[in-house]
Amino acid sequence: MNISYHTIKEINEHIRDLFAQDHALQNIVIRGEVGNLTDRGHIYMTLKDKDNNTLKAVLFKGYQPYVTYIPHLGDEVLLYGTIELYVVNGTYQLIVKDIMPFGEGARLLELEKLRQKLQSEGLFNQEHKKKIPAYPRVIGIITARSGAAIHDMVINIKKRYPVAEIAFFNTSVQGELAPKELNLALNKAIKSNVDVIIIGRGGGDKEDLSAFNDETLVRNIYASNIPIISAVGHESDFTLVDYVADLRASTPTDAAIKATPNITDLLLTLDHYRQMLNTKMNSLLSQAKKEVEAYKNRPFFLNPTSYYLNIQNNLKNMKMTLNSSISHQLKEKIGMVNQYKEILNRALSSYLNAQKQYIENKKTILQTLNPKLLLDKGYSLTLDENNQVITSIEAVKLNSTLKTVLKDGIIESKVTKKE
Amino acid sequence: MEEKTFEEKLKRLEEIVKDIDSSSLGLENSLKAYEEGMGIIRDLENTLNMASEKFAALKDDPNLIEKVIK
Repeated sequence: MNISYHTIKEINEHIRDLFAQDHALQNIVIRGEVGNLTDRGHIYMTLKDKDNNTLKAVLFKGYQPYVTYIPHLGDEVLLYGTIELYVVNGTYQLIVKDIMPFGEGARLLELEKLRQKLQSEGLFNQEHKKKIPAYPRVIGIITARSGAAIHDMVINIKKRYPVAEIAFFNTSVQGELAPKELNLALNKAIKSNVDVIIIGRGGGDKEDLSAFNDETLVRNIYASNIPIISAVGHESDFTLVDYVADLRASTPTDAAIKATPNITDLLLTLDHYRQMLNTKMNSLLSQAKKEVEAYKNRPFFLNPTSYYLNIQNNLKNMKMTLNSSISHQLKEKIGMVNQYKEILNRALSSYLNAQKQYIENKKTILQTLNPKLLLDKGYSLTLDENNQVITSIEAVKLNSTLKTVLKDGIIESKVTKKE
Repeated sequence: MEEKTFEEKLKRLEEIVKDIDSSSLGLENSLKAYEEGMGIIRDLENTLNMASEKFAALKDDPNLIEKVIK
């Protein structure tokens, strides 16, 4: 049997050559979603369209530095390249030379670029986040009047913290006008007397939330002095407003919870404070009572009379002590005076005796010198007219009268001669 | 003088509780603080309860949002 045949390789190479000759397969642009992606240095993808038709594609490592962007699973992309057949397994694939996002993918890329720009400017930095007040007086809400969000927020705010007032700033939250209206409402809210602002809306698809990625809105939120809570869509939705807000809530209800304290907790806290105050006050009072009791039991309060008696006795004792001390001192002084008196007396009498003796002596001397004694013996005393004793002839004048004193009389005689 | 806000009152209450708890006031001032504290507690509870009742009455009103928002 001599049948002519081709090897697989031959036929595959043949088809490959046919592909290569077909201009419709060279340097073409294909649109598709990245349905499958494996990165083994070369990036292998399966592209699909909305009817789930698929096409294999490969982005060789060597091309990767030059393509517009590296795709992710699920991205809608435009691919530029050539369809080639891979001889080894007989399958064809798109050899990708460039790739760029398309539609939603393009929007996401743009959004990601904006996010990175704002991030690099520091708009999302944690240190810029303002603290949400614990007990807001007025809560500003920026959302659509018609949505479910406003209802959820109001009900939950009022249920948790009914004393808070709500200031509402109506805006559309999707569509062409939404970014402008959101900015207007935000500026109005910032200028009003609110303590915290909730900006948000209920869930929607990505396109519906796009107003919350508006760059101006993000910058206005960043510039606000009033703390802002974002509540856009559902848990899984993330918008730039969520990045820049001071606090991100996953839903409008969550925002209401984050903006308010809970009345149940508050009432419990108040009750707890009441108990603390009562307990502490009771203990202070009973302590004070104990102190008063302690005073009451002191001897003075138990028997005040005895206290006074004591004082009286003390006074008496002191008086006695004083008296005895004074009389003792007096006695001492009197003794001393007596002693001095005696010494003085003694001194005086001895002085007197001495004087007496002295006089006696003088008297004796005088007696021995008494001229009368001489007169008794027969001597006489001659006096002049002036009764001066004459002791010399010189004192006698002729014809003067002299007195001669004798023992028993006086003779007057005239001087007739001096020899 | 403007009425104190809920937060200011709560802050004052916390101060009073702290002061009395630290026994630093002395009996007479503690009593005064105690009375003030109890007054604030009654006041805050009343405020909360009244606001709560007011809202409960409105809760099922179809025009709730219009009535609640400023």
